[in-house]
Amino acid sequence: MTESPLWPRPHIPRISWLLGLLLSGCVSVYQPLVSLQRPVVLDPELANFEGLKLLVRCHQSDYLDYLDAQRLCGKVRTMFANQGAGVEVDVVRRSGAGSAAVAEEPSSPAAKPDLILELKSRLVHSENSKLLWGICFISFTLVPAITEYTFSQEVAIRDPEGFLLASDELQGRFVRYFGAGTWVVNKTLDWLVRAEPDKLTGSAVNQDFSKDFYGQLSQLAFHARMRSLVLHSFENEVKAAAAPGPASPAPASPPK
Amino acid sequence: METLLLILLLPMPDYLGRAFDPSPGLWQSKEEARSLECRRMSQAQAHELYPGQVPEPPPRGEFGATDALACSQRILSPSERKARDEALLATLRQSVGELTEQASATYPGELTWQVDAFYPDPVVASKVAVAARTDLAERGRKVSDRVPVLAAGDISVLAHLPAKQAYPLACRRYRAQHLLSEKDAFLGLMILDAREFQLHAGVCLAGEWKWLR
Repeated sequence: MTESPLWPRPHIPRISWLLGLLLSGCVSVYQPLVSLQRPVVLDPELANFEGLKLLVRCHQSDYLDYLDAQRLCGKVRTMFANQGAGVEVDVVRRSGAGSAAVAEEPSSPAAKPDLILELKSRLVHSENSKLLWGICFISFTLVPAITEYTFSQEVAIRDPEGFLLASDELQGRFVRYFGAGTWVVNKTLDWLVRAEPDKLTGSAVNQDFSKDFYGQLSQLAFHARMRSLVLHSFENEVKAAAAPGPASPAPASPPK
Repeated sequence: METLLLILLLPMPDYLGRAFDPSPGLWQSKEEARSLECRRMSQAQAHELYPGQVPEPPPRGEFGATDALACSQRILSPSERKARDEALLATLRQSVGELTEQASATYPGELTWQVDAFYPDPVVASKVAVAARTDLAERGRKVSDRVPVLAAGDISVLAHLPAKQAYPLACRRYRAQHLLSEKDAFLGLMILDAREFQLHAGVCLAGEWKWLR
């Protein structure tokens, strides 16, 4: 070996590095795991929760810092508000490792919610190879660096007395390919070959995940609401029946 | 040059492993990826389930946690059945099991159980009813294949009532028409709204309807 090909020789303009960086891009891919790929029956764009008072409680965790928990709660609030629910938000701050959780006061504590939705996030798995990053930069990002993580979102929906009405664990996996080569190949395939729902670049990853995540949350909340109705012998049926959904809450099929 | 080749070859195992990655990408579409049911689990758990594919974890442990992503192909692709049928049938064993367990525990006496399901699709309804009968029988309960059937006039009235009134009234009619004896319990499984796929259940015994869930 006479010379090292690892680094650009002095006469190669440093701009090539910058060019490589500029050309490189990220392609993030989302794969639904546990429960996130289950079909959603209701349409989250309709008023499914008219008249419902909902408290959304997001917990800060090792995986989700306080600001992210606030952001998550805000997005979930918007999603349920768009479906006709009156939503309060409660972000539970963890004041230190092993210490008790401290809850922020909801904005109007006087209104007792019909349902309480709790969200807890945790990181199940993450993978980030330094070797791949090294090769990626040596190859001017033509060889991609790959990072991936799997998260879990625990959802529990209770009535005001604390009775558990519905719960689920939603798991999703994200794989991120960093590099000009991957980006160019995928962009070209998106442009020439892939149909609209199969595209991988751009905001496709956010749209796919949001559709699954918010759809599952809506479905779970709807199930909790129906279970609450049955357990309370349809006491709140008037409110539920007022929801102008795609189908009336009449029995799906009458008893024979 | 050799060094460069060596360095470029170093991550090959990583990239070759990616060829079997179940996420959408160059080799499979999003729909194909969705037809897989994947779950992340520890290496020990994966070795128990797939001993030929996942090696046993070293007895002295490993540097860093190791785990596996285990995927299996779904029997039916997601678009083959209606979304509600698919969601209901995918968890039928679990949901019916929970309901029959609750019914069985609430009414522990020597009863003969009759079961019917109320669901828009009669094929799916019959699957739900059969699953519930089987589960009750597995729990050691006496199960009948009979189903109480009301007269057409009763059905037309019940069809216009909300669930809150329809099921208790149907229960009273079962008793009035002697379709259920004192020793017969009727377990009804149903969905109450077209936007849900979770099953509710109620029991009719001696003309009294009780919602279980």
